[in-house]
Formats: sequence, C-alpha cells, structure tokens
Amino acid sequence: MSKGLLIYIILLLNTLNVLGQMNPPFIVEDDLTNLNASNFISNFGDVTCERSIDDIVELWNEGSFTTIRKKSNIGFTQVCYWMQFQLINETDTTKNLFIEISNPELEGIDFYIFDEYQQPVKHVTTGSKFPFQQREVDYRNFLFTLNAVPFSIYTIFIKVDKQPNYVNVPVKVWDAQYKIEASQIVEYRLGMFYGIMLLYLFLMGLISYFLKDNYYSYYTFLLALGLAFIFINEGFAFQYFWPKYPWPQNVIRYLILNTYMLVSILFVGNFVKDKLSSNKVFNFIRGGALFLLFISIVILLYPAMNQSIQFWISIILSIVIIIIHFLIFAILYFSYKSSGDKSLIGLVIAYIVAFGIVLTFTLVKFGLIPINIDSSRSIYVGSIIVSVIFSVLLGFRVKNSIADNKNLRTELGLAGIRSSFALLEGQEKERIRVADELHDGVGIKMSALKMKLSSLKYKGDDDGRKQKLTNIIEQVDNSCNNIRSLSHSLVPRNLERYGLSAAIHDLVNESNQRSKIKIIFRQKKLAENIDNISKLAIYRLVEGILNELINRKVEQVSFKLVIIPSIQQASINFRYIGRRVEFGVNRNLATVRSIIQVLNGQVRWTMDTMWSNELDIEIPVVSKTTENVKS
Amino acid sequence: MYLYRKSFLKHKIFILFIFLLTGYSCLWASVDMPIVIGDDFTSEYLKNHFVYRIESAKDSADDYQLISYKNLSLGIVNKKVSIKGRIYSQASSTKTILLEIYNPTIDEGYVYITNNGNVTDTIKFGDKFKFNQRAFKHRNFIFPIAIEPNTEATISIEIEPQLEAMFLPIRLIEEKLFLKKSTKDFLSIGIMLGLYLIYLVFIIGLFIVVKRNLFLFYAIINFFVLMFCAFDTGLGMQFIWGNSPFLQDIVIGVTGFGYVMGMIFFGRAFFSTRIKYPKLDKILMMFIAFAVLSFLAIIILYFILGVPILVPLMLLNVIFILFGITISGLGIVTYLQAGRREGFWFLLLFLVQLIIWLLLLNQRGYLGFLFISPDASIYSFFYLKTATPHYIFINMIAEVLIVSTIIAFRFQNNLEEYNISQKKIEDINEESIKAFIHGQEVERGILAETLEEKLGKDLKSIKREILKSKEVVDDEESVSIALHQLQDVQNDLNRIASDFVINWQAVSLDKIVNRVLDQLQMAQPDLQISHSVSDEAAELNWDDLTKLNIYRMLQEVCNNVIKHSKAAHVNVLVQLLDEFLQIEVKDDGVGFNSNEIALRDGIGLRNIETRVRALKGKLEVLSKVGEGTTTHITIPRKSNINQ
Repeated sequence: MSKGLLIYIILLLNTLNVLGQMNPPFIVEDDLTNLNASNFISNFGDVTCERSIDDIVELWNEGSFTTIRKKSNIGFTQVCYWMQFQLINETDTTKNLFIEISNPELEGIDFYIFDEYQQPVKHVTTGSKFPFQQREVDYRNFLFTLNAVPFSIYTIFIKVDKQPNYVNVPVKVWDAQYKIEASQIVEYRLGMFYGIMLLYLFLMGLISYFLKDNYYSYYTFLLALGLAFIFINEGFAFQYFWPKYPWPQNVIRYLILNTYMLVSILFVGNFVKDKLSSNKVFNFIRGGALFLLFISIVILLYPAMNQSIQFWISIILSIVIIIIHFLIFAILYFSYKSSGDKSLIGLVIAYIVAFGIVLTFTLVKFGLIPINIDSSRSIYVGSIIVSVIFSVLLGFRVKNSIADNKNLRTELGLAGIRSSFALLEGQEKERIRVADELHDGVGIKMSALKMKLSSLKYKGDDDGRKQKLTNIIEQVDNSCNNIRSLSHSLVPRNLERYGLSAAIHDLVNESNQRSKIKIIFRQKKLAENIDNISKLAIYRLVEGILNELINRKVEQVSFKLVIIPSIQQASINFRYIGRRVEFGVNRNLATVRSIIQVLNGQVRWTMDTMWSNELDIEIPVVSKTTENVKS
Repeated sequence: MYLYRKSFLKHKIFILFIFLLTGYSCLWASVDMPIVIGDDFTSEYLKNHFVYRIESAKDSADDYQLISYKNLSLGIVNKKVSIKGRIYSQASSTKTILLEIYNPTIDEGYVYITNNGNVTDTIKFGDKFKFNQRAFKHRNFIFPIAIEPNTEATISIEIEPQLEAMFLPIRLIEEKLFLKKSTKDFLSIGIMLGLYLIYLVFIIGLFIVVKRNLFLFYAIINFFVLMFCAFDTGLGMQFIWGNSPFLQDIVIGVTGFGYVMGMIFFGRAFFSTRIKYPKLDKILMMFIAFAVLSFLAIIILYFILGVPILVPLMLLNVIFILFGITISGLGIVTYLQAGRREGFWFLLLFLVQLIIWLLLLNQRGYLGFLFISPDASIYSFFYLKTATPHYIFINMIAEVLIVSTIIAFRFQNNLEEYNISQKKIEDINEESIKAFIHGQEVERGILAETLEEKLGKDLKSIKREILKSKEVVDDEESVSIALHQLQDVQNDLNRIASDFVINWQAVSLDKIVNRVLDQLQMAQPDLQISHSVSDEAAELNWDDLTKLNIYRMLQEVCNNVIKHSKAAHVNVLVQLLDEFLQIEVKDDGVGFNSNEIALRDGIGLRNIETRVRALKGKLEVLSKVGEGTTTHITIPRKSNINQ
C-alpha cells in the first residue's frame, strides 16, 4: 500500500513538473521541525477579486499560477493574491502540523486544504478584520492546523484579500510540538524586551516628572509611543487588549506613528532651540508639526474612507515617515555641525538608528526587500541601542547632578564666609581709592603748589616777610608729608608685596621703633595660602590691638598667630602685663571690634594674675584652595 | 475549609448546607472516574479524578486518596509519591493531549502510560537529567499522549523522595490551548525578568555613580532573587544550565545563602546610619552566624554524609521568617525613631517581601509542616489558585516600583537641595554686595573725617597765609595762581571723600544729578555740561539705597571724565523707559578701548559694576579711542522703589 502510494506521488510530481508551472511539493519528513514554505508556493493575482475557490482550482489545473520563488512579499497592491502549495506526508505516522502565516497585519485570509482526491478537508476564513476569538488557534500570527495522515497529499490554497496595507505572506510549516517549544523562546525574548522597555519607560517617566525637563518628557512619550507601536504591530495588542474589536488596529497604529513623528519633531525642535540661531529651522519645524497634525485628523477619518483612499493614505504615510526622519536627522546633524554641541552626538546616533529602521521597513512595505516579518528584530535591537545611549547620557547627568550638588554645598559654605568679609572688602576698597588719589593726585598738586610758592619773589628784603613766606612753604611741605604718610597708612603696601608674615614683622619693627614697649613676635613663617582679604583682616586686627596696647603703655607684649587654612580658621593670641583693656567700649578699638563682629569672630580674655593678661581672637579665613574650587 | 469559608461569607446557613451537600455529592459521583477526552476537550486538572498516595512501609497498596485540590501540595514528605488515574477518549479521531506537571523543580520521577492494558510509554523525568533529553522541551514537565478514539489509557506518575516540597499541580491540556497558554506564560515571564534584569542594571549603575555600598548589597540581593526565579521557574534549566543539571541544587543552595547574606549586610548598611541601637550589629551578626551554621549543617549532613534531613532546611526557613520579621521591626523603629519617610518605604518593602515569602512557604507546604503537624496530608494553611512564580513576580514588581520611586524622590531632593543652595548663594551674594557698599560708605565717612582733621585744617590755614602774603609779594598773578592751585587741591579732597550725609528721603533724583554735576563743574570749570532728567524719573519714589548708589555711580563716572577723558562736553540723560531707569553719560573725550579688561579695572568700572549688581541693573560702557565714551546704566524700576 505504502509503496504504491509513493509511486503514485512520484508520478504525480513528474506530471506536474512536466507541466512546468508548479513548484515541487513540500515533503514532510520524520525530522521536520519547521520549514519556510515560500520555495514551494506558486501564486495568482486576481484583479477582479471575485473568483471563487472552484474557479481558482480550475485555473490552477489549467496552469495559470506562476511560481515566484523566495518572494512572499508583494508590497502595496490592489490585487487579491492566491497562493498554492502541495504538502506530502512521507512518514508512516500522523503528523500534527501548524501552517503559519507570520504577518498579523493581513486583513482577510481564506485558507483551504484539499486532499489528493481534490476533496475539501478544511476551509478557514480569518484575518485581522475578524474578532480574535474566531481564530482557529489563539496566536498573534495566523496558525492553521493540519493532521496529516501517513502517506497523503494535501493541496493548500490561501487567498489574501485586497487590503489598504502592503501584502506580505510568509508561510511556514511547523511540527506542532516544535512550534510550541520554539514559541516559548520567541515569546520569552519578546517579553524580556517589553519588560526592559517598560521599566525603562517607568524610570524615564519618573525622571521627567521630577526633573520637569521637556527633554525627558518628550523622550518618555516617544518611547511609550514606539513601544505601543511595536506591541500593536506584532499583534499582541489585538490578542490581549481588544480581541473583540478588529477595527481600531489600523487607526491606532497610524495615529501612534503620526504622533510619534509629531513628538519627534517637537522633541528635536526643543532640543536644538538653544543651539541654533536661525529662525528658518523653527518655522520649518512648526510647519512640519502642523502638517502632521493635519494628517492626524485625516487618520481619524480613516475607518469612514473607502478602501482605495485608505490604500493611498498608507502609501503617503510610509513616504512621509521616511521624509520626516530624514529631515530630523539632517536638522540634528547640521545643529551638531554648527554648534559643535557634544550632547547632540547621542541624539544623532539615535536618529541614525531610527532612520535605518524606518528606511528598512518602508522598503519592505514597498516590496523592495523580500523580508520575512519575523526579522523585525531590527526594531528591538534598535530600541535597545537607543535606550542604552540615553541611559548612559542620563547616568552622566545624574552623576553630574550629584557632583554639582556637592560643589554647590562647598560653595555655599564658602559664600557664607566670604560674605562676612564683604564689608571689610568695601572698606578696604575705599581706603585704596583714597590712598591712590592722595598719592597720585593731591600729593602731586601740593608739590606743584610748593614749587609755585618757592618761586615767589618778595617785595624788598624784609627778613620778617621772607620768614613768613618760608613758614608757608614749610606748612605746605608738612601737609605734603601728611598726605604721604596718610596715603601709606591707609593701605599696608607691604602686605600686598611681601605677604602677611613680612607685613606683620614690619608692623612690629615699626611699633618697636615708635614706642618704648618691646613687642615680641617670633614666628618666621605663617601659612600664606589664604586670600588677601583674610590676610588684611588679620593684619588690621594685629595693628589695631598693638596700637591700643602701645597707647595704654602696657609691658612685655608678645603675640602668636595660628592660621589653619584647611579648617578655614585663624587665631591671634596676645599676652601682656598691664591693665585689662575694656574691649567692648574702647573707642580706639572700633575697627577691631567691627572686624570681629562682621566676621562672626570670637574674643576671649583670661587673666592669669592681677596684671598678666591674655587675649585670644578667633576669626574665619578663606583658604586659597577653596577659592580655586569655586573658580 | 476553603469551600466552607467562601460560602459562609456569602450566604446564609441553609445555602451553605445545600452547597455542601451538592458539593459532596459531586465529589462522590466523580470519584475515580476517568477524565473524558472529547473533540472539544481543552484542559482539565487531575482534581476529583486521579488518586495519590505517600508511600511508606506500613501502608498497604490500596490507601490511595482522591486529589481534591487543583494544586496538589503535600509539603516536605521526603517519601515516594504516586499518582494514578485514567483517561478515556470519545473523540472522533486520534487525539494528542499533553500531560503537564507544573513544577519544574522535581528531582526525579517516572510517568507510565498504559493503553488498553499494555504499557506504551515509560518516561523518566526530573531536573536531575539534562534538558536536551526531555521529550518535550519546556520549562515544566510535559508528556504528549496520543489516544485513539474510544480507548482508555492509564496514567501513573511516581515521584522519588526529595528534599523539596511535593508541590504537584498537574493537568491535561490540548495542544492548541497549550500553545496559547504557553506563549502568554512566556511573554509574561519574559516581561517580568526583563524588567527585573534592567532593574538590576539600574541598581548597579547607581552603585557605580553614587558609590554607596548599600546599592551594591541591594544589587547582590536582587541578583540572587533573579537566580531563585531562574531556578524556580525552570528557566535556568531551560536556558542557562540545562546541560549541567547538577548545578540546579548548587544554584538553589548558593542563592539561598547569598540572599540571606545580602539581606543581612544590606540591613546593616541601611540601618546603621539610621538607628542608634548599639546591639543592632550584634543581632545582625548573630543572623549571619546562624545562617552560616545552617548551611554548613545542610552541606555536611546532606551532601557529604548523605543523610536526608529536614531539620536544617526547616531552620533555614525559620531564619528567613525571623529575619523578615526583624527587618520589618527595624523598619518600624527607623520610622518611629528617625521619623524618616524612607523608614516607612523600606518597612513597606520588607513587609511585602515577608508576606510573599510566607505565601510561598505556605504554598510549598513548609509552613504547614512547621505549624500544623508533619502527619497532615495537605500542608497549606489556605489554598491559593495562583502558581508560585506569580508571588515572586508580584513581589518583584512591588519592589521595583517602590524602590524606583524612593530613588527618584532622592534624586528630586538632590535637585531641590541644589536649587535651594543656589538660591541661598544668590541671597548671600546679594547681601555681600550690600555689605560691601555699606563698608565703602562707612569708610568714606571715617576717611572724610580723617582728611578734614589731618589736611583740611592745614589747607585752610595755608590759604589764609597766602592771602595775607599777597601784599608782601611782587607777583600778584603768581599768588593768585598758587591760590587757584590750592583751591584745586581742596576741591580734590572734597571730591575724594566728601562726608555727604543727607536725608535721602527728601532728595529727588534730579537734585542728586545736579549735585554730582556741580561737583564736576567745580573740578573742571571749563567743561560744558548739559543734562536732562525726565519728570517721571525724578518723581518716582526711589528707595534710599538706590539713590545713594545712583549718586555714587554718577560720581564715579564723573571722576572718570575728570581724570581720564579730557572732554570738552558732557551730556547726562536720565529717563524712564518702560520698567527701567536709564542713565546715560556721554562725553566727547579721548575714549579708550572698552574691550581691554585691564583698562576697565583701572578706571573704577568694577566699583560701578558692584553697585549696578546691587540694584539688579545693567552696565554698558561704549568707547573707542578718539571717539569719546558713553556709559549706560539701566536699573529696573521694580524692586528699587519704595512701595
């Protein structure tokens, strides 16, 4: 029986091959797992779309079908396509088979199976325009079962209705068990992808909510739209979200696509806003956005349109997508070229990826690439690449934000100290100004006056008169000296030129010369890495207190200075023998008091014995290193 | 108990009675009846059709009990378990159905399928064997059974003793439906794992960015949770270590140990900075010691001595529970003691984990074993419909959402803190400018006094003397020149530091301008000065500090005219433009290159800039060599006038 059957098959095959119009049949062997059926398919384009299965079988018998090897993708067409292939079970067991059409976008499919006697075995009408529950197998792609009995021949006809979208009919034959096993892995991977993207979306959502930055909001929105589009495109949405309602499929898909482009444009516009000065680009972006808004409205009317308008809208949308992506990429690229802003690099790369994906998909839609729908993996890879780029950018942003905050905290502390020096700085600025004016302006003018007076001639030789004039000149001279010394005393020039240590030693030497009191200051070196105004504050404090002590004629004055820039503090310690200085009310100490007060410094008196006194002053200082940090 | 509780809550007692009666009769009717497979068969659990027995030496072979739960859960019995039952086909053709054991962690078992009295299939299964050897490559154990029309098949399943709980949800399912369920199942598992995987990456990224150990420990915990999932769902066997099944036991051991350690160290890192309790560390260290000892005991007893023990395994679960309770307690303490928001969040987090863990232990029968009696046949406290991985996944999602939100909150705090600091710095800087100007004013007063004391008096006396000397000197012209020079010096001194204390409230803006221009005229009598102050600007009630600053800035600009410009004309324009006061001083002097910063510093522009900043205004100096200088000062009207 089995041998006879085999011979029958071979004979049949030969006959068909002699006719020259048929592909070889699909042979089911014991080790079948899955096989692409494209090589075995011949097809027929029915322009009228009104032929019945009987007409078609007849046409097939007449040899009107053509063989198109390896091409399941027909592209945009307004013709109904009939596909046919033969399947032979060569094994001696009943084979549970799944025949899969892995394009969930096909709107109407009629699936026929005939046995070797041309008796119908099965007829299933399905497609994405029918509710999901009507499917033979609940799966996002179209699956048809066939229990192929041993040594049998089946002829399979598939009719794909005219549809407004492109027509791609990748047919695969699966061993049922293997399909279940393989689909686990496929779904698991897709699930991983959605899981990753969902959390990523959630995090981006959180970030855009907290940052209140349009940049992230747009990106989050884009991400959500992209994800929704893939989810719908893969047929998941139909299966799990609205299985009863097939009509939203296309409208939602197109709306999402259009909104995606709209947000894309706004996102890019927002991003290059600060980077481009040209208004033309913005007008252009605005124009693009308005155009897309118009298309959105057209899409809303989509279900009410007739099929041929729908068809042209699909084509136009496919072209618009490419143009928009190309333009966005161009805008980004030129913004990057003209502004040199490195933050654009990530975005440019992201759009290269996006552009690549869109281009590939559009070429597929136009039937230019005979790609199987399963290879939409590029979308997944693309999204992951883009996500990684954005995550890295975000990571940097978070890192910078944390570092910025740290710096700002340091700066805040510094600003606090610095602000207490501001009053002192203002005073010092004024002193410098006056000193300069006295030295350069008034001083010179007085010298000129002196010269003028010296050149005066007297009436007669009266000594008294001469003396009088000499007195005036002496007086002027005296004023000149006063001006000079005032100018010098206003600004401690040594401090600026030679540093704190030298200036204080000069001050001590000068005081020792001026008075009989011996002042002892033995420190050779002081920490100099504090800023000038801090040095000045210390100098003024030492100066003021020494002057007061000299005025009070105390004895055995000695003092120490400790400056610790790392903790931003300086302390001055005086010791002397004599009466205690009433710090709070003394008029001569007004400057000292005001310095300590404005700097929030501290003063402490200790009396060892009746006469031995100790005065400690602590003030904050600004260290040079922290100042550098700020700048 | 389940039925009782459910009905009691919903209905009155008589309904309960009827319900129980019908329930019982149904139960009775279906005892040991085969599962009927028709053409429209989809799926059915073994409940009420198949029987089971836990094998022991004293039992007779007939003591099978009917399976009365969807998910048969026997707890840890460490004995051989047998299940058997019949299926009968009423389908029109040969039907392939799948027998699915929904527990991928069974160590070793056998399925015998007998068709019409002949054993047709004996299949060995278990996670002891390589994944590739499975007849049906799926994470669960699947056995395809082809049954001819109008025939009966007997299925008998034997599971060898194992340390893990005998959790045995088993069903028969038709291929097409199985494809649907399996794809959905894998899609959702994929989503969960993908989500969790990226979450792990996110936590590791945070650790790299923030460099805090807390995140590292947290990432370790999550890694082990992920490993546990891989083990418990069979996905590890299917996708990762399918060729090395011995890893299955090692993975679960290491995972348990790693998870506990990670939790303890995480708790230590988290609570040590938040709770002031000296014994905290000791308690946590005790947990570590306890966990290490339990693991050692398991390894020595089970893996080395080969003693099938239950006690250490139980201990381990006790540790988990105690630790969960302790951590939750610490969460409460943190919340109460530190009053921190995060204390609450972490409390929530650990409570979720604890509950999930208890649910899991309950479902697997560990809890029943511990707290009811080792002899009880069904060890679950309450029956749950959901399969195990769902608990873990719910936990995962709850955790991901909670922790991400906490982290986002912290990030937001960081940003807020940044903004607050920035505002503070701005405030301080504003204060500094004010203090700076105040210091200048105070010092100007003191210096004016000093100059008057030390020079003013002298100059006056010199002037008197020179005037007197007029009569004794031949050259009267020279004397008048000398007098002029002296006047010049006096003017200079006045200009440098005139102690200009006025009641600012009574002075309007035009008077201020006049005053400055008078000083300018006095210093440069030949200079032609024109000015205009708009009425609007003059009438506005500018605050005192603004007036002082305007006065000083004008003075400074005029000083520059005197000292540097050599100009013949000066024009001063003060007007109100919308919301701004604009002051323009224009001269036709020598000018300078306004781009040279050093020059700007030299001519006292810094001083003007400081004051302009204090008034939140703008300064613009336009000058070119030979083309004069124009100074624009713009001051916002708002914030500089008295309300």
